Amino acid sequence: MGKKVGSLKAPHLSDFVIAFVILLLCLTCLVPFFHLLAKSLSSNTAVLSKTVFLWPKGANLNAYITIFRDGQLTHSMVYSLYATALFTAIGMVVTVLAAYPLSVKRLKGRGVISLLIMIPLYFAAGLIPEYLLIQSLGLYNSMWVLVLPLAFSPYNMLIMKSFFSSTIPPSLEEAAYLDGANHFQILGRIILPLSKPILATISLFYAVGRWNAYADAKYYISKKALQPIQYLLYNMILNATASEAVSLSESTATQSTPEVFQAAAVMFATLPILCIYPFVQKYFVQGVMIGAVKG
Amino acid sequence: MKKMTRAIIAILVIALISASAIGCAGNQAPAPAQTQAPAPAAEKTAAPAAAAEKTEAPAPAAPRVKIRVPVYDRSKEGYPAVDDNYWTKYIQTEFGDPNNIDVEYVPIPRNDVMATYSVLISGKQSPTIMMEYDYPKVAQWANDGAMQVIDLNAFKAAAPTYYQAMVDNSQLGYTDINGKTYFVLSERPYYNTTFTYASFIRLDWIEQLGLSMPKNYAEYTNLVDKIIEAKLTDIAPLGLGLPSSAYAQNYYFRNQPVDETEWAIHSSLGTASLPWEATKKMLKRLNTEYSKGWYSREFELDSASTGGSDQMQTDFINGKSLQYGSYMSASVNWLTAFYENNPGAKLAVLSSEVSVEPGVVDQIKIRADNPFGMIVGFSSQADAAQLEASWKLMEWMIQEDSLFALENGVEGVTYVLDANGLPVTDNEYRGPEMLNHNNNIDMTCLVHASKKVGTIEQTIAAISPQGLPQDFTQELIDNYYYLKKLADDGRAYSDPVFAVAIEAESEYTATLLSLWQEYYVALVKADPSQFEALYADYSSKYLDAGYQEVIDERLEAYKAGSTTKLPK
Amino acid sequence: MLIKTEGGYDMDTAYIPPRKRNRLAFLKRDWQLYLMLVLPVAMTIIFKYAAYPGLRLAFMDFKPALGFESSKWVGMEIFQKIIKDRDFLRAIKNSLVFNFLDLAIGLPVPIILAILLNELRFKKFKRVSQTILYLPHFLSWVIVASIAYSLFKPDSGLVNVVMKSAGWIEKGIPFLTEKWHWAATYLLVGVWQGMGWGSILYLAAITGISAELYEAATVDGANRLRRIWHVTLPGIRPTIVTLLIINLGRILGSNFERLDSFANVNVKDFQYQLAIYIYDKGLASGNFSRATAVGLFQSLVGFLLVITADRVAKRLGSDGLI
Repeated sequence: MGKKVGSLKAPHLSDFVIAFVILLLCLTCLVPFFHLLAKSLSSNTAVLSKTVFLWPKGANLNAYITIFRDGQLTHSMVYSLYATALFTAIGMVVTVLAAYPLSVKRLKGRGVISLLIMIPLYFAAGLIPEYLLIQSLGLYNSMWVLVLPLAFSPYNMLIMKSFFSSTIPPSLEEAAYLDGANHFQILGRIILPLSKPILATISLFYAVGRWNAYADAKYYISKKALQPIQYLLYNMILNATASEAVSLSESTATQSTPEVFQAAAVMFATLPILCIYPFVQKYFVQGVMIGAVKG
Repeated sequence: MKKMTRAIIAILVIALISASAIGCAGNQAPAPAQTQAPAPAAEKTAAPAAAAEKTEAPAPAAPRVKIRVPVYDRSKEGYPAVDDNYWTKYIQTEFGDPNNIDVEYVPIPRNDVMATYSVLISGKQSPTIMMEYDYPKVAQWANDGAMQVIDLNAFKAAAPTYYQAMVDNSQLGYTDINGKTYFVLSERPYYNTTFTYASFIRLDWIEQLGLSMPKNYAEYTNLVDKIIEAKLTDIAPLGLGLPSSAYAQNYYFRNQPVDETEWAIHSSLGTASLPWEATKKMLKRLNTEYSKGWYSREFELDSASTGGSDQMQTDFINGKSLQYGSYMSASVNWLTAFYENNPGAKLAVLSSEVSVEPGVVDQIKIRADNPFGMIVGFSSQADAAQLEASWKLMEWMIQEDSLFALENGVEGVTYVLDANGLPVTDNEYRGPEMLNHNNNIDMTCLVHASKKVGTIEQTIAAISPQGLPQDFTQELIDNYYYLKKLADDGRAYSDPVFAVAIEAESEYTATLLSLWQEYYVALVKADPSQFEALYADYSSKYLDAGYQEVIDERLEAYKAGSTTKLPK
Repeated sequence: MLIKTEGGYDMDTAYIPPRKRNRLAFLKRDWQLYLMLVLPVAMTIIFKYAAYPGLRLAFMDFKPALGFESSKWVGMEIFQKIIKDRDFLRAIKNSLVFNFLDLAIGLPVPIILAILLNELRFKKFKRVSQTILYLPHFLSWVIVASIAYSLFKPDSGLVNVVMKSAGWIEKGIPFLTEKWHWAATYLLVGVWQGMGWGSILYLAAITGISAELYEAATVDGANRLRRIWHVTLPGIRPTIVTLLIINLGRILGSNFERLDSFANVNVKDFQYQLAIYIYDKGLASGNFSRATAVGLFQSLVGFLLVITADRVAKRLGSDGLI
């Protein structure tokens, strides 16, 4: 990107300054991950004594071996990947179907429909009403509860809509219409190919959003086998910090998951979703519009 | 172009089909919703009728009954799913199938019990059995109508062993709320001694200074001051935690005998008793100690909720602090880590006796736990057959054979018998038959709060930390007998139990906890000369913030005779 | 809905009477657009609006065991109680201030980052650094806060230890234990956590800017700063406006997990925000009616702000949201 402009000249001092700033920021972002990685590879004693910072002590792979042997996290991982893929696919279809018509300025009733879709972005009915709804829809304790209720995000729709209406000239669509194309053809042939960067971005938003979310699983899914991996993680970490308060009324040792495992579990659950970004990045190529306008 | 249109239409159709497929999938998935369909009707039938219906029910031809039993979900890595494992299947085949009952386990996240129950109840999905360790929680359920009134005679008929255990443990006084019977109670073995908790002190430091184990507060103070003087550590020698629940450790500082009214309104795990004299004495002592440099200047950040893990524990493991305490079990990872980091160090179990200071703490008084474990009630959404079935489950589980199997597992696989014929469980075993958290305690808590193995000595041996250079079994046993003597002398106090729900308590608990933490830190850190003024100020603010309402309500309940009394 | 397919309908040959044409011509032309909207609108209604009758919780004394049918109606009582509550006012004030600051810092930083990334010329580094920068988005707040505490504790925090041993400071800086310092730390950590993730959207928007514009600017002799000012920024303006309006609606809402993880007794004055209020006085004590009432208030304020901002944006010549 930007290479058409940039490659004309040799790197300037400002290029190095920018690179340096970015490098520093990157380092701050890497620190916590190296910290967790080092912990996950260290011995329990070293972690408990908080002497591990960026380099493992008493290095071993026990935590990871336990994760794979135990099976519960690996099961949730596969399951979560499946739910995320389904969620993203459905989310994208619905979002495109809403964003395109609403970006066509002459569409009658566009404002009302936009408003209708937008209101839920700000008004939530709250835990109990939503729970009752999920139950009456028959989604309680089913994988679909992770897929359907959140699959259409008004937030993502608004962003996509704003992209469509700002980057795609209305003239293009008008021309196609006069050529005899119907709206589905215009969407498929003109709009979508021109919108690859935003499609990639919104897919990423959907996928990562689903991957990171656990609040819905907390109340809508009680069966352990149907819970996504982030919920297991959340519970594991929260139970570790809350164990003090809990043990008072129980008056017994309630040892939580050792920090080594917690760190390993976080690493394990984060890595797969990180691998998506490079695919998204592929579509961030500048100047897609030129071809379209000229051709 | 046509291709694209077709593709889009295809996706649309798929989306629509999958959407309608969910309708079908949904119909199968929440089976409980359907099997529970008759449940709302049960609300009207109410409890007394339950007994009558029971006798009518013809046992053999009866339809299969489904009960839902709550089980804590602690999400611990390395354990099987709590709602579907070898032991849930075991209960189904050993108990369920012969009795024509389906037992379904409902995971309840340990850190979010109340909200989880609330949504389940709103959705008519309440577990048949509802249980908690804290009385105010079950009282709230009973008060709000989430639990049904039961007939203890019917319970006695259905679960004679369980009922007899309640009689033996003198628990019949705790079954009622608002004058109606709601609960049955599980046993808490050795409830009036907190023998599972132990505090460890650095014996090697004491010897290095040429002192002996401190026996009272004067000696203890001398020891800590000497340690600071001798610079045995470069940080504050003692840890002080931020109170994470509202529990105030003021038992030592109470008058002996304690005034019953004061005890009834102030002594509670739910709300801290800041304005109480005993709490003031406790804070005053902490304040003095803090001013002498005993505690970290940032102790309020040292609990587990800030910073991932407990800083006090870390300091102890790193050999930098004098003492640390926690609940005991066969493997205590911080003790293991301590010896690994401090080869040659020696520890000893510290007795509460070190707090004795004439005029302030004349005698040690301790907190006795509740004389019961789980408080077990039954959902108002359960029908008579479900009620009966859950009683059967409890009766089955309390039988020695069932309990033994659930707590020890399979002989030769998860445990072996030692020379005394006592089971020794293999904590490393990871096969399908492995026991869940703490020997399946989250299932067996229905009948008792902790596993019993033979005598108290053998029970302690089973929770004494293993694999360390030092063995503490004898010291822990001695500690038990010390605590038992206190209890026998009438110096172990349970908190009062209220037979009515204290509504102000559920209203203000969270607010008061947050204030208590704030004031606690401020008072401990205050300049000793300003302590009195600050204390008076905070006490009145605390009362205004809702504590006054709480104690007024408790006082009223106490006067109406709806509380337990102090043992005479 | 209004859709009616008329068999082999064709724009050129279909005869439409003039009067009808004026009123319903848009249907002829755009029925496919309405067809597309069926699925999203249906999903919104089924999964969102269908739960709204439950908002009546705010006017009831709701008890789970009694359900909606049998719980008592109390009218505006809950709202009256909240309005009188001093804690509520304190929570509102804090929420407003902190969310405003979050927006004021949190909005520009990802934009600047996206521009810097776009200007970066070392291709491999650019690719890798983008992935790295959005790593923090995957850490839960509990973990972020625990790392922050181990870095910033006044006595034993790594940063303070290093600065003290280097002789730069005498006493540890109370990054997390004094309310003003805490406010800065809390906000900056928030920005740090969200910047990489936030920049993705702007990067995508920058991609949409025609390369010809950049070439033209270069030909005109514009330097880097002028190119950014005259080409990049106007190019991503619609995205900025959209995000600004959307986020204005969240001016009273805050992330409970973030606030809770960064809590400590010294900073309650600032940390006590609406999310904490809702939790402490609503959910934690099983008081769903109060939680709903506060939520409703929060939503109304946010929504009014969004509508106003949308109007203003349209006046100023932007597209707006609706």
